[in-house]
Amino acid sequence: MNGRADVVVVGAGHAGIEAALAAARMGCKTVLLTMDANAIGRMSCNPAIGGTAKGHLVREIDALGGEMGKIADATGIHFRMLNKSKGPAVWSPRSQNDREWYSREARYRVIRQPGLEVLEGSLEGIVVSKGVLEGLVLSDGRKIATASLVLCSGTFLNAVMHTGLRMTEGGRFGEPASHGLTEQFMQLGFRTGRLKTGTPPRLSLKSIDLSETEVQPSDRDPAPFSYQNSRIENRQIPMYLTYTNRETHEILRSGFDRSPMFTGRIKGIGPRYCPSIEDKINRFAERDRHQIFLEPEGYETDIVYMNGFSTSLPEDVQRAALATVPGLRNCRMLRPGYAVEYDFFPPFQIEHTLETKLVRGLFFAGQINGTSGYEEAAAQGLIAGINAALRVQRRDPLVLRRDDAYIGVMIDDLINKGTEEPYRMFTSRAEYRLLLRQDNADSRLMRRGHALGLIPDTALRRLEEKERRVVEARKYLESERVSPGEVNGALRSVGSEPVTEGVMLSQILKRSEVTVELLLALPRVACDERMRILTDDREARERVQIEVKYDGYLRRQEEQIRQFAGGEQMEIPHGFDFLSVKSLSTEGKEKLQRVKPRSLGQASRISGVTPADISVLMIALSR
Amino acid sequence: MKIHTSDTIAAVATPRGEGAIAVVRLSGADSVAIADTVFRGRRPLGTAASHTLHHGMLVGPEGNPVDEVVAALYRAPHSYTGEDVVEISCHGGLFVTDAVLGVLLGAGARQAAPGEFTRRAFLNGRMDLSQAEAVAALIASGSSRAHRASLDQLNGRLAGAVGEIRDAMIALCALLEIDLDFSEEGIAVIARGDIERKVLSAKTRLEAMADTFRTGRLYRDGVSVVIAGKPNAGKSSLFNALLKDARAIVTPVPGTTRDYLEESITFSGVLFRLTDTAGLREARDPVEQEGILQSRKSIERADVILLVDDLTTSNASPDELLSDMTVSPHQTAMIIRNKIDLVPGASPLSRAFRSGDLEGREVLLSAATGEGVHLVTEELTGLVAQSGMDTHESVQITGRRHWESLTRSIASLEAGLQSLRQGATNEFVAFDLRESLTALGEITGEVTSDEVLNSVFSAFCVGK
Repeated sequence: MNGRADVVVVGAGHAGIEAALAAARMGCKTVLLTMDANAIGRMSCNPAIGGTAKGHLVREIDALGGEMGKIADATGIHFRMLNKSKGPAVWSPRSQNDREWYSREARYRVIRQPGLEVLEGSLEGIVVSKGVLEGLVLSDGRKIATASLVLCSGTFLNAVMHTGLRMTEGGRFGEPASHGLTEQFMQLGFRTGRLKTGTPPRLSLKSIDLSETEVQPSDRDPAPFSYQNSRIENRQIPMYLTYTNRETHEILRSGFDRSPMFTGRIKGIGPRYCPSIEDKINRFAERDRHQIFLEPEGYETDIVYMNGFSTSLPEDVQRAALATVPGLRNCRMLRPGYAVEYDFFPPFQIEHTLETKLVRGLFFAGQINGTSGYEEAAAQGLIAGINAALRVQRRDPLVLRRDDAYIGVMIDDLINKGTEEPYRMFTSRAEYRLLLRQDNADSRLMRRGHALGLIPDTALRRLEEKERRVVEARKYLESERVSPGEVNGALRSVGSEPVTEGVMLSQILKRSEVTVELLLALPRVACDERMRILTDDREARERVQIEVKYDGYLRRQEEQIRQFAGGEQMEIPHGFDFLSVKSLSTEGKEKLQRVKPRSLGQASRISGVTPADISVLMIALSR
Repeated sequence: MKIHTSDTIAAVATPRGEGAIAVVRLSGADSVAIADTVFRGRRPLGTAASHTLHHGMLVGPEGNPVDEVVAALYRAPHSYTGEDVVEISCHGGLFVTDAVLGVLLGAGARQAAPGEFTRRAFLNGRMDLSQAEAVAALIASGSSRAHRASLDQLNGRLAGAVGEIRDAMIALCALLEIDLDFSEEGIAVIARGDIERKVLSAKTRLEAMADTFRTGRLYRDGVSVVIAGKPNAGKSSLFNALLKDARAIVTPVPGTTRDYLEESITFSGVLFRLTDTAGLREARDPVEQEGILQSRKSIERADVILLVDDLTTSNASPDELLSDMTVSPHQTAMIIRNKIDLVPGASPLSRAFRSGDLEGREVLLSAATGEGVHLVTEELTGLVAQSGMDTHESVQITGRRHWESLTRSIASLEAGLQSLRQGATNEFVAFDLRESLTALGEITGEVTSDEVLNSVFSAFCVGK
């Protein structure tokens, strides 16, 4: 086919799926190019979605009209809300998924999408004229003309897999690497770097003695990821927990002389937060055990994912070490762990829209930008796909700010802070964490998704109704006084100090031991229509509780956001020459020229730019 | 849109007036070249190494000798401003220094604006914000004590002391973040009691530092003493007695002092700024109401409040006298019982009083006759000695901006303690701590950004 498309997406992993679906749904003729149509939506590492901070990303993807949350809900076999013992800002949904089912479900949704064509093939190169993308060439010589291309090549660029000193070319077990692209991009002026990630061994479930492990059940009433789903119907299965010990560590250490990492074979930098087991025992020699989650990969499979035991040591060392772990003494290893090294493009080269600065119309999303994780990839894919479509339609781009969403934090971090290791989302990266919660992603983003045509009217109406209920209930709680006689019984029942005079309901709800459910049990409250309606609306009820309880903190955070917005409004004109500002520090000058920040606020977040540089810039801009 | 820091500036760097020598400073990319056009030494400065001294003659446009000078050469970036600097030591005196400067300006230098050398030093990264402010304070400092506080700040002692506390707080934040972001890792996290202890420790240290602001500021701005009290209690008489001056109009009609008056006086080498306030009473006259508002404000800002009461009409207890006034912990209140000359048997006296948490001195005197006024000046000088102006140990906070940042930082830590005690979960405590860190970062101009996560990764084995 020599054809034409509005948007072409290269790579059908978690980023590619979101990009392609969003572009097609926004009315663009879209092509999804993949080396293997059977690998669409493959979970190449652990069979899980969400987790701390990542769960926030999935909720935001869903609120904008992405697909990840829905696929995870449909194929989840184990759900847990993490951090439930802590405050609502860090509650994070996580699911274990049936690996095969997840991929099948993703493929089905992609294939069924009108306006989206799946094309098998591999990218040979892109056609660029005067810094503007014009099309692409496939390795079989076919050409496609397009104004927007989203590249989501994952770990496949010049990928090498390592197990011990054995090296194999390939981006994923049994799948070939992609060559030549990095070189073409370097000729276009892109800078590249090399990163490393790893995956643990896979085990046979029937060979594990589960009686020696701790059982970890799924949540009883699991909350779905998607705002458009009200409950999870799938049968839930448990996960299992076990630990390494001194003996395990001894055996692993004996293999260090054949480790591709310690012998210097692997040059790419791995993540500090998801270290391999050899990294853990090397850096934290004083710890005599590390936990391992045994995660069955589905209902009808014998494969178990060994979460926490990522390694690239030789196979015989992996095998011997496993045999020392409780529950795994007689276990059969189906496939050893391995490390993958791959090329990425340091993300100072992209805009907040994920379009590259060097080639207009070319977007990067996912691991190619130095991130790690399905959720991080999917979030970028969605933003890139949306902006690719908006570009074709000559509409204003979608840029999420740090105070809008974790997605905004991530992209801003990538651009300004750069990545020396694969970037993973953490709640601590979000300075406005108290407001960017997983429960309110819909209020933060769904209107935007709707305006883009990615959220149906029904979902928006449901959101508006929920918000109305929350406002009404808050008004009631903040205006209604109860007498000691009405409320003291309930207070005593939860060990809370009785009141001596009439007090506002909102004041009572602020006490840490008081819940909105407790108040709903008071006859007067239960009689009020504004409150009674919350009984069957968990989302609205939780939102009311959070907003009333943490009102003081939320206000302070809002004040911080106002200050932050001030810095963002101090614009730096397009094309400003940072090199001409002589008094900037050498490093500051270089970093500023590289990132080309659009506001003083952004400039201040670039690593290597000092406060003195910011003062200099402020003076330079005020002339 | 360029900053014009490429030009070379010159100014007389020593005080104006007669002196043995004066220094004229040149800074900028062309300073060596400009100096060489007018300096005749054994060899051109352009060929000399940095940090060297050169004896020679400074000449005018026609080659006429202007003065015999010593030129000190500092090459970029190892100079005060970070640029090439030439400092010319010439003979003192207005005429000679002006002539030397004139020659340099004639050779292509531009007259420097006030503070421009320091601004360049800051812009060139030669000093952080607190150091730059210290330079300004150093130049303005009138006493040797102020001089030392400024010097310490210049040497980064403030930044160092703040940095130490900040590091401890970042480590604590890291522990909280581990609890939040890595709850699945099975890492033993910090106990609530330990968090509280650490927050308290940081708060105590910051408070100790903030407390030095008072003394630090006393060095620089002097001690502010406000005379307050009911109408006709003798405030202006006391003001005058203390000033030994008759500037305030003293009349027996209540409410005469409508505005407030301020004078500076020195006792035992310490500067006191004395303020007389309008009478504190309910006034209907709008002008007088304004005056009363002013007095309340100056009382709030004062270091020392002299509360004057008329012994002939009142014998109110300290509790009663202080009832409608808020004395903050960093203020000192002194009760003055005036007009002993009109009370038979009364004589000058200084004694301690106590009202609630507040402790202070109570002095019986007569402002009209001057009897006992010396007791007040003695107490004032004593107060300064007590407040630790003579300590040589801790870092002195002298800048209001630093003090405000510290105060906000402390307030956030206090909020953190409240959060902890109310059983709030760690993300709220972390919020308070980060707010506190941001305020601290303002002192040295640092931003915290990734420090917390880096601290997490360097100390803990995380990530499954």
